[in-house]
Amino acid sequence: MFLELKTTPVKNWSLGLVALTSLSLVSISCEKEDDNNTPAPTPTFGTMTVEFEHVYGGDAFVVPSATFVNGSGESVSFNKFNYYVTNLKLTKADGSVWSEEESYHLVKVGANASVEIDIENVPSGDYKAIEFTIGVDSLRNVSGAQTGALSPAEQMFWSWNSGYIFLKAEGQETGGQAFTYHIGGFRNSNGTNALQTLNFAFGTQTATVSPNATPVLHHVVDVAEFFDGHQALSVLNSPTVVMPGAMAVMISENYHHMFSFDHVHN
Amino acid sequence: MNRYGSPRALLALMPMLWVGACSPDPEASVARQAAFRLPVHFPAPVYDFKGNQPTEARVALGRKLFFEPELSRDGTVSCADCHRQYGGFSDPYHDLSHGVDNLLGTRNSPALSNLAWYPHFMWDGGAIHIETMSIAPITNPVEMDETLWRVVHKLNHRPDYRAAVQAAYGEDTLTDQRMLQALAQFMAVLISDQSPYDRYLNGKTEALTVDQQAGLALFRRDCASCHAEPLTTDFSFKRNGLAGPVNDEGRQLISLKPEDKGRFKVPNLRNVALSPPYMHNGRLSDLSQVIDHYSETIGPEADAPLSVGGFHYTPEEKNQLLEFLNALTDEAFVENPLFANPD
Repeated sequence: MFLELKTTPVKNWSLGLVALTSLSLVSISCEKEDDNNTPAPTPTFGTMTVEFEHVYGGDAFVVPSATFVNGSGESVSFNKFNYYVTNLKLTKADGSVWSEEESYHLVKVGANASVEIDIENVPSGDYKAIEFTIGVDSLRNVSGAQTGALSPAEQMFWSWNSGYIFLKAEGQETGGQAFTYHIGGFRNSNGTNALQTLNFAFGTQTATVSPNATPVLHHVVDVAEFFDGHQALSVLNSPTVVMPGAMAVMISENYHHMFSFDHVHN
Repeated sequence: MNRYGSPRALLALMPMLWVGACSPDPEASVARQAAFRLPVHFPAPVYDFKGNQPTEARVALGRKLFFEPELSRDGTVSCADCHRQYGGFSDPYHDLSHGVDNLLGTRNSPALSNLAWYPHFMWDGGAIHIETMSIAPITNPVEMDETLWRVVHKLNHRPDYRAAVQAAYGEDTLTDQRMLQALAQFMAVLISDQSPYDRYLNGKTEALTVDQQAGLALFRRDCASCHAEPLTTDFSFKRNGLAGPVNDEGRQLISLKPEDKGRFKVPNLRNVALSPPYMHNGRLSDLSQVIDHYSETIGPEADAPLSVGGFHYTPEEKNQLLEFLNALTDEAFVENPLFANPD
């Protein structure tokens, strides 16, 4: 068995003391565990499904997409629409908050307008609100090679200016102008923080998780807001935004408005 | 502080102390001198190997990958093609980097050493972690022009990689994370600390000639405020007053700050005599030209402490500086067989 040391700051340890401590840790790790305690009442867990139903105005949105008109009067269609949903938190009726561990999910809109994320090992209980972030927190942007949804092989990572692409939208305007929007940026220091955190309360509804019940939190994602949620984004005026900066922050404020909570299916 | 540096740095070496505790486990293989170590006269490293504990087998996998042309789209360019050991892991042949289809990059391929001490990488500091840095050359259209997914796919079809990954990770499947972490381990062990300058710092004053010692005194007076000892860089971004149009925004591309236009990272000078040409765009072909620049031709855009005109060295001082720069050549490093192509 290999123990990974936590690199919490340790001061004034001699080499000998550190070595001795590590050996004692290893010896503990090699002992068989006795398991003769009376088990406490076992907490139970279930699954919560978070659903994102993509629309453009009143129409279903799939990728590759149909042609839609944006607020600037441009006819546009999409070949790609991916984004990160991360750091999910669920609030119970009693106000306590449960946070998903390793909470990194990559939504890639494809032939189905609805994308579902299953959140596993949620403690049983009645939930009243959800929080999540569109993007990847600053710590993971600076923590080296990641895996799973954060694998840089997903091509949602800038190598030349290290950091995750939070949302990637690509397509074209019917006149032939291609658009490429790779939106990210996590630094407050130079005004490029494009992280968007959303909170939704379920109102009068409750999502009840148990080993036998998997509620679905149904969100609607209106991609029309990507162009016009906060300020008008014109494909012809600004066809390419592929680095952190003021334009990326503006577009992130637009897509913040794409998300709305609709209802709970219990 | 003990001879191994800070306690934090010591923790990075902890796997060495656990050898065989509950083996077999690939994590338990020993990191010996061929692997990561802390030179006695260096500060604590930046890279803490968190989640990527160094082992011989992983360094070996990283070394194999570093020399692997299949990292490029058409199987023609490896990391080592632009980072040649005899050039201090730089490309002494080209002013600008050469990639697939003989495409030209926009900057000079830098010499590599002591990378575990780097807070950021590239001339503009845009890559901020040793594990993700190598994604940039692999995917850059004018360098290797490949995708991580395809590299992993190609190498997983190779029995030699299956065996190397098995030895390193106890499973035989390469993933992009394993590839990047193994490359980081090999890059981190490229430690240059055996030059005459290093021996001098460690108390052997006879390691430097009289001229080299005089050159070191000039270096400390005029250069070391940016080329900070002992790593020979403070990793800051500076304009050095080199004449010519600014057609590369440099650090401004990353910081988005207008004042960073034309600023580039102060380069590490270890093995500098082996790694021509010089400056971010390879404009100066030998060290004499570099010294002449700082002596006479510094332009008005230069950052302090440089000032217009330059330091006005005498011919003797120029020679002393040149001799000192030669004392940064680490023969043990550029001839270390453990850093050479393993095949």
